[in-house]
Amino acid sequence: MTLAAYALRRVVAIVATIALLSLLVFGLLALAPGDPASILLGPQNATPEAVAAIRERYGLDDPFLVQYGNWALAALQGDFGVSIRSSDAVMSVITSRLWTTVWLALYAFIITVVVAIPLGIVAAVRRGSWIDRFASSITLIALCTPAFAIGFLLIYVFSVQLDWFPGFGTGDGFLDTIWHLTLPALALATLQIPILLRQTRAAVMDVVDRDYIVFARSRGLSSSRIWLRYVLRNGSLPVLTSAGLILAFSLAGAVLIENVFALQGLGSLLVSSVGTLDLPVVQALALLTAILVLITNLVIDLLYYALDPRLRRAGAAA
Amino acid sequence: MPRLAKWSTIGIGLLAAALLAGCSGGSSDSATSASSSAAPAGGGEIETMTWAIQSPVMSMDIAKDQVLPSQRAQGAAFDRVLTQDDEGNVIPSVTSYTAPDPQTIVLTVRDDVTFWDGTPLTAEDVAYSISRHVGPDSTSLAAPYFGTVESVEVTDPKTVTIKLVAPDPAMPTKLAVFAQVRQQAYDEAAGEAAGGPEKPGMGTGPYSIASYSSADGLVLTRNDAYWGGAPKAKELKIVSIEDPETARLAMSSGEIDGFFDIPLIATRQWDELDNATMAYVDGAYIDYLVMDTTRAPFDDINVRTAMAHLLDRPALAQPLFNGRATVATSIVPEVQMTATYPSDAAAIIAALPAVPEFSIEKAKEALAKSASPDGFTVDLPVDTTQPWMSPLGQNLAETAKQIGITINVKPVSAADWGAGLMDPAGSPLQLLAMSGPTTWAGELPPVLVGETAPVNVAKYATPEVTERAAAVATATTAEELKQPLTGLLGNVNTNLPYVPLFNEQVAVAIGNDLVWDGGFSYFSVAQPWPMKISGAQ
Repeated sequence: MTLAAYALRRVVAIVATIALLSLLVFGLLALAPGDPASILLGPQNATPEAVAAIRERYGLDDPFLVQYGNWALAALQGDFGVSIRSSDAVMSVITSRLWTTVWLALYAFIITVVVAIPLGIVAAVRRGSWIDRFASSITLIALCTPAFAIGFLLIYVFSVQLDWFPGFGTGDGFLDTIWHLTLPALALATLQIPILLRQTRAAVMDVVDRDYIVFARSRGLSSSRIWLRYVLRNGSLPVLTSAGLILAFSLAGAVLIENVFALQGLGSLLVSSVGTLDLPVVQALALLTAILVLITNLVIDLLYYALDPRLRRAGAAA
Repeated sequence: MPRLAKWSTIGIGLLAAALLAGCSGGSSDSATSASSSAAPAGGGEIETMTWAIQSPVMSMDIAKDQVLPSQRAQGAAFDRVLTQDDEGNVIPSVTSYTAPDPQTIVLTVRDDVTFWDGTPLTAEDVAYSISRHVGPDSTSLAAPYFGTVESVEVTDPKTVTIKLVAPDPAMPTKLAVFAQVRQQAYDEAAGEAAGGPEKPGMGTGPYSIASYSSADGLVLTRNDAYWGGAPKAKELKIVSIEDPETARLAMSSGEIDGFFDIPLIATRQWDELDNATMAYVDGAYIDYLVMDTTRAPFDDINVRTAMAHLLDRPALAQPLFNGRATVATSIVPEVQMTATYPSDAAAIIAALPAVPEFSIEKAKEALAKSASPDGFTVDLPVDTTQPWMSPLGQNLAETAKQIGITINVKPVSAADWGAGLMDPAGSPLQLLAMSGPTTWAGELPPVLVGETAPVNVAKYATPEVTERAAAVATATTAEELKQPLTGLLGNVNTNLPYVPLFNEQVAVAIGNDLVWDGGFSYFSVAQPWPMKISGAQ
């Protein structure tokens, strides 16, 4: 099977998954308790007339399948309707938050990869050394520390005491955004580094003990060749999976980090929209998040395909 | 009206009224405003001023977003038809008003008011700014407040006449709070987008909108042609910071110059800031324990009495609100009582039957006389965004356990809490937080009790109470109000459908580089508040 055929098969599976997910998301939210119109108006304001006007305006009285059909057809054209809470187009609400989340996720991801992978490799190679113990200790501490505590600590030290970075907000322009997002990205990376570091350490340890590495050494292959062609390449597969999941998790919205640093990203939007039963926004966010995760998985799958000759051979045999 | 936590970001729900909480209300009994007396002289120009609110502004149109933080932002850019002074009295804004009879209000438009684009404010714009909230087809979140409006008409080029179906003494206050002045032509051209980031609106206020997004907040530019004179800050930024601790650190590092509506439970840390001054003012925020009088076991007065005896209200006020709350003596917020009866509020309150004091013994005795002498089990939903609710619920559960009552405290979201209040399948025991948008002592009782009361969570509607509530609702003078009101409050304190708990204060942090002229006022929500702020000199 060629890369194109492999990718096509994965894309078809993703489209089917998205279609199923969209129905599930729409159905589950429709079943959620509470009437958005009543919640929007509040108990005192929720007169029958006002509730009826809101329900008619947002098509809440149509049969379920009609609501779903209308929504799905419009969604295919990028129209997720209008936010009940703000009356703005849902896509406009989401895009106003999207870039904050994307920048934060990418920034944190880069920090995570740059720190966790080299440290994980060194910890694996020098098992039991001080650096291994150091890596284990800091991962343990980071894993046990709540996200908000890390966030407030960073703000207190680097914003209030040292005045190096701003403690909240996103900034304007590229450099200002990077400056503003440094502390939140560090906080988010602190949560992600232990996961990737441990995964990297375990994967590399697993590979360096394999017979083919011993055999490669006995064949007199150079150390760099052994590391690049054998250890890192084989060890990268589980690391790639973890890295993909971490990125997808960040893109889905790091709610606590966004809250601590007062970032208006997708996570905080999802929380506030769920609280107000702003169904059009919640539906769109749930679906878009699922799509982001699926696309990330697709990229990981394609990288797998590129890195793992066994997949290519299996495809060719098929 | 039930309100979400002042710092809550979730939920629109209850807010309509609720959150307009700060918008108006009680008297102006400024509790401990350190800012006004000891503050340095103001009057200085400010290059850029940054204020933080607790939730993103979803719309600059008050018809679409009424949460208190959004109203703070809207008030910096948009005038209201009328406004309030620091004591809550309704005073002229872009219009002045007269009331030739109890069912007519005549607004006269000022001559010198222009929109940001230079076009003059017309009577048509004023009429539009009101009538958009009026009528059964209105989708404005403020529409319920204008239910007594029969018509809004331009009666001459400078005059708008509002006819009411019944006397509504609170209508001028409602105009000061909700009638945001917007240019009709702009809104009509913007259509559904009006109020949103692309088309936030055309106003007459002290600042025009340079940029706005729900994510990044607002950048406002000084309106040098403002009819009330140019404000002192050239640029005003409004950002949203949901976590009060993040806001405190931002205040500490000087990134923000002020923060509205700080959770009272967090104020101790804020008090320690050395670059900001805290202002605490009394507001028309009031909390209740509510028991459904139509459902067992709370259909029994002895059970309700027992429950009231279980609450040590004076002892709880300190830890739950850092001492920034007083024990409520009736279902009317104290500030409304004081504003309506400036000379004899204390005497009126003193003459009311007292709410049962804390006593486990008396609770036990009352329960023994009830139909549930061995106790019962009941759920108590608590809104997780209102920090006082859960600890109060836990405290009540602990004391209730001593007399055989099991209370299961159920943390719920703000939306679920609001939705459960009037739900027949909800718990018969509730905690309720309310606020009033006027200074009128007769405002809340008809909302809470009687056949037609919209937030009668206790389902308390005996014929006598319904009659008194109706009399309270239609009274137009303090004297006319006094007799039915005191009768109604006495009845409630005796029969305890609502156990009055606390009157809460409002807390605001103001940077020491700034001076708030006259000190922060509870009524600032209905004011073009940036006009009050200048640089310290």
